Amino acid sequence: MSATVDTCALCPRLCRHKCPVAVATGLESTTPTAIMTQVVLARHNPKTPVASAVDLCTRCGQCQDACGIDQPVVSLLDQARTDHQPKPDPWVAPEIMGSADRVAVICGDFNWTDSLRSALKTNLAELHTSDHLGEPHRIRTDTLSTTLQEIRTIFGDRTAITSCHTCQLALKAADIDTTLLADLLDEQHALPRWRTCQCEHGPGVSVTVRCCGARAPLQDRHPDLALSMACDVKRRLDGQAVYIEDSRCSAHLRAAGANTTDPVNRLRTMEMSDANR
Amino acid sequence: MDVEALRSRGLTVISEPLHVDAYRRDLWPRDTLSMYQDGTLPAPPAVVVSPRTPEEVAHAIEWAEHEGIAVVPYGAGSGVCGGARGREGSLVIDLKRMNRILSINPNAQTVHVESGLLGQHLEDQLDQIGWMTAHSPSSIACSTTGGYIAARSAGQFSSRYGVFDDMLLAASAETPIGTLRCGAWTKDGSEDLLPILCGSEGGLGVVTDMLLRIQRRPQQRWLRGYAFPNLESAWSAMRALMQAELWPSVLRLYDPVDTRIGGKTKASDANAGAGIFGWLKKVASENPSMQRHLLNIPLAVPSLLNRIGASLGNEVLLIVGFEGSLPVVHAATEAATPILSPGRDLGPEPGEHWFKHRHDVSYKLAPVFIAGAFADTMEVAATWHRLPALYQAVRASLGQHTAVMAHFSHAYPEGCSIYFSFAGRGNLAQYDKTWASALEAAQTAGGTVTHHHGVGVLKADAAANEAGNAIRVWQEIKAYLDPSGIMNPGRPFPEEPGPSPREQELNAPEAGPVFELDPISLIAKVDPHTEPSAIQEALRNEGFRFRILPDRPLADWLPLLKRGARSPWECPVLAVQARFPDGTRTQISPAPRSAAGPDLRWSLMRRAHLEWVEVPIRPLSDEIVIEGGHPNIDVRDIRPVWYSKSCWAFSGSQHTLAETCFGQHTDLAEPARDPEEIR
Repeated sequence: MSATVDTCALCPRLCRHKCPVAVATGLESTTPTAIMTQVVLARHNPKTPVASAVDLCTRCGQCQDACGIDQPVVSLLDQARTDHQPKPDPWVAPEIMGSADRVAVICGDFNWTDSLRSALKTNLAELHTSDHLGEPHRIRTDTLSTTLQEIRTIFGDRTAITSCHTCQLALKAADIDTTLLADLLDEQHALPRWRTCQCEHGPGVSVTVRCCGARAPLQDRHPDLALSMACDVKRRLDGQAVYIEDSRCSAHLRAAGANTTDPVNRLRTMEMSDANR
Repeated sequence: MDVEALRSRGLTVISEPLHVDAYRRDLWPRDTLSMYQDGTLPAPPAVVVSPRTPEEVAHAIEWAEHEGIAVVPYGAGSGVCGGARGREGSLVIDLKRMNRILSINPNAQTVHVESGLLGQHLEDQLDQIGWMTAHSPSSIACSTTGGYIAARSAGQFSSRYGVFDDMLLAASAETPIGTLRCGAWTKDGSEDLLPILCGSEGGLGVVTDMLLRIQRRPQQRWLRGYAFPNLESAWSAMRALMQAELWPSVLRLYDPVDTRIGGKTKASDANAGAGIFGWLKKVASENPSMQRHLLNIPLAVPSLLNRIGASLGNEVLLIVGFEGSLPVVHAATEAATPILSPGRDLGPEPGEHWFKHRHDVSYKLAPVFIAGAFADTMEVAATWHRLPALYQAVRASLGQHTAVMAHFSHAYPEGCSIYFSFAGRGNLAQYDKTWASALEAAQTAGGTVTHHHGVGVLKADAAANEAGNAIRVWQEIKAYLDPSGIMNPGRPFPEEPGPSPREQELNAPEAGPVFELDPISLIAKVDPHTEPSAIQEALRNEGFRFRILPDRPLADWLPLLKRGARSPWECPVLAVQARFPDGTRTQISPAPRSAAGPDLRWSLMRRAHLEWVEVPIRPLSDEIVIEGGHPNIDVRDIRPVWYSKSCWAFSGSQHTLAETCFGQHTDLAEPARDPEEIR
């Protein structure tokens, strides 16, 4: 079947049970079908709020996996963003500081490069990004390839370390050899390890959550719904403490009151302990 | 409108147009057609709330009553008849945040769930611990448990496990006058309104939670395809399997067009099972540049396509499935083999292919709409005796305007449903014309206009006609529970239904105690006030007997029955005729099962004098075998004729099952059944 927006808009929402936004918020508007319907309706009425509708999606890809006819839902929404949202200003690519071959990609408030240098006893370069390596440019079809090319240019032959799955996705798409911070740290803690935004629960965690809602564009344009999703995860965790691989998800869930920790949090704790000594 | 009052009671209120607009339609294809062709939608609701608890639902209803606005309950919006479509200025109560499993009781084989839980999520969670409801509609991924009650849903394994009504043991609903508890939760001495709540489509209240029967996941699943020379021979086999009470889990027969176009009798065809929409899709996908034009040709001249389909041959595919414990599946398939022998055994592939793709039908609709046409489905039902005429009549009617094919599923000992799929070119006027003539054809042929899709806007007038004067029962209960008439007005019956033409000439029955026999459907129309022994004798003279022998006159016996009867998944009574105190007569003809609104029979019995009832019968030669209970086999896996704590009874046709599972059996006299004993 041809991959048209129309096919999704005319589907009876057969992927809604997998969509983390639709499940957590319960809102009809958040199903992939409803979002695609807005795109179709915009052909008849230019005032249809497509720009806001397409950003109800976190691009987790669960709908694609559930689709019985393999619709590339994420790409279709990226195209819809391109068609219905104003083109952003060109991406100002960040610079890598330092000459080491391994680059710590810092996307949050806390710079964990020194802590990791100390833990690994190795030299590291660092790169600071405020938009997860151009995420707003990578979720559109018209700016995707240039953004990925810029990432390739920045890194060259260097490898990356990241604490965030969104940045990891960017690096992977740009063919940069990337390691998750969680994989580098010695796992001595007792908490079950878990990742939300990628795919699966970890050992000891019975809750399966594909996306906590922290990822753009949902959090940027619909922060209340992103918070609802975090609260839903918190409810399902039912007080269970969880070690989350993705620092971005972890921080988001923690802000909603969930009992989470993550690699960055761990490095921060280590640094504080060192300072106290 | 004081929306802040809603928020002040803790409710999550949704008023942003982006979100509210998504509640303007459900999946009624008429609204899909206008959305897609013209960009027009039904009117928007005024506000949407998303409650977490029954108390919040009650607050919302109270607020709506104070404001004097209509309430539309909304599950996942998968209804295809417009039951949850937008209503201007209404309050929509979206129940999907009430999505918890509250408790599972394996000993009692029950699960207590909230009404906003998606069917797939329920099954996924039960599956993790080895259980299932076995309710598997093709909409399972996009429909809620509350929706199943609203529309009286049926799943693909209904011939073994029953329809959703049969799995439902109790339910709670919030109504304008307070909480209504039904079924097993009915207050002592109160009327059980569960049969009225089922199929009420939000017209009485908002269902908040329910108690459902659950089953152990089957040890074995057996599926096979058989090619029969024609529909008649396949109907006979289906009927024989059901009347032998072998309880197949799957029994699906495709008519010649569906069989041929889907290539279904070719066991090796990987594309089998696609149906008309699949065939159209296949044509289009193989010629992408011509997609619109290729689909336009058959859709523009549907009669041509129907004629071509009819000329392709008469051979039809029947898919049969059995499941349960190993000995039961073995015994059932052994017993079924001679019944299926007129068919050509195609092996397991057609059945397994169907099973793998059983939820895919919904993907087939999009290409038809994209081609500028409409596609829809219509599910009707009738007794076996009337089934052929119903099939021909509705097919002929739909075939005037659309390309049409059908399959037969949801079989019962008394009859079967027919599921028509059709597609045609045209606008809303053409769509309406197609439906109007098809509904009339179904009713004229003695069928019910809906089996498991509910009523909605689409079938409200037809449902009212089907209910006839019995609609007074609905009106009385609605006026009590919803005195202001705010609950989804006009669903499932019009607010002011016209007179039912079919009820103008109802007469009192003449000589009894047996007024009429239908030996094909195994139904007898009998006097409910005569002693059962006298009826039994009259039946014996004709070569039949009661399928369930009551211990007192049916008029006294039936109202005492709890949920379910001899088996939880079968009806002890079919059609009824009754006379209200003012002399007005009414007939309710649900056989084998009508979902044209709620089941009004049980409340009718309390309010009107029964004049005749239709009851299931069995051939006299089909003797009853009584067995002692077996501690290690779940009785529900075998589906005996009836069972109690001390013994289980099997029909003669079930000998093979009984002997396989229990060895020797003992013939005893069949005792009359006390309604309190029947589970």
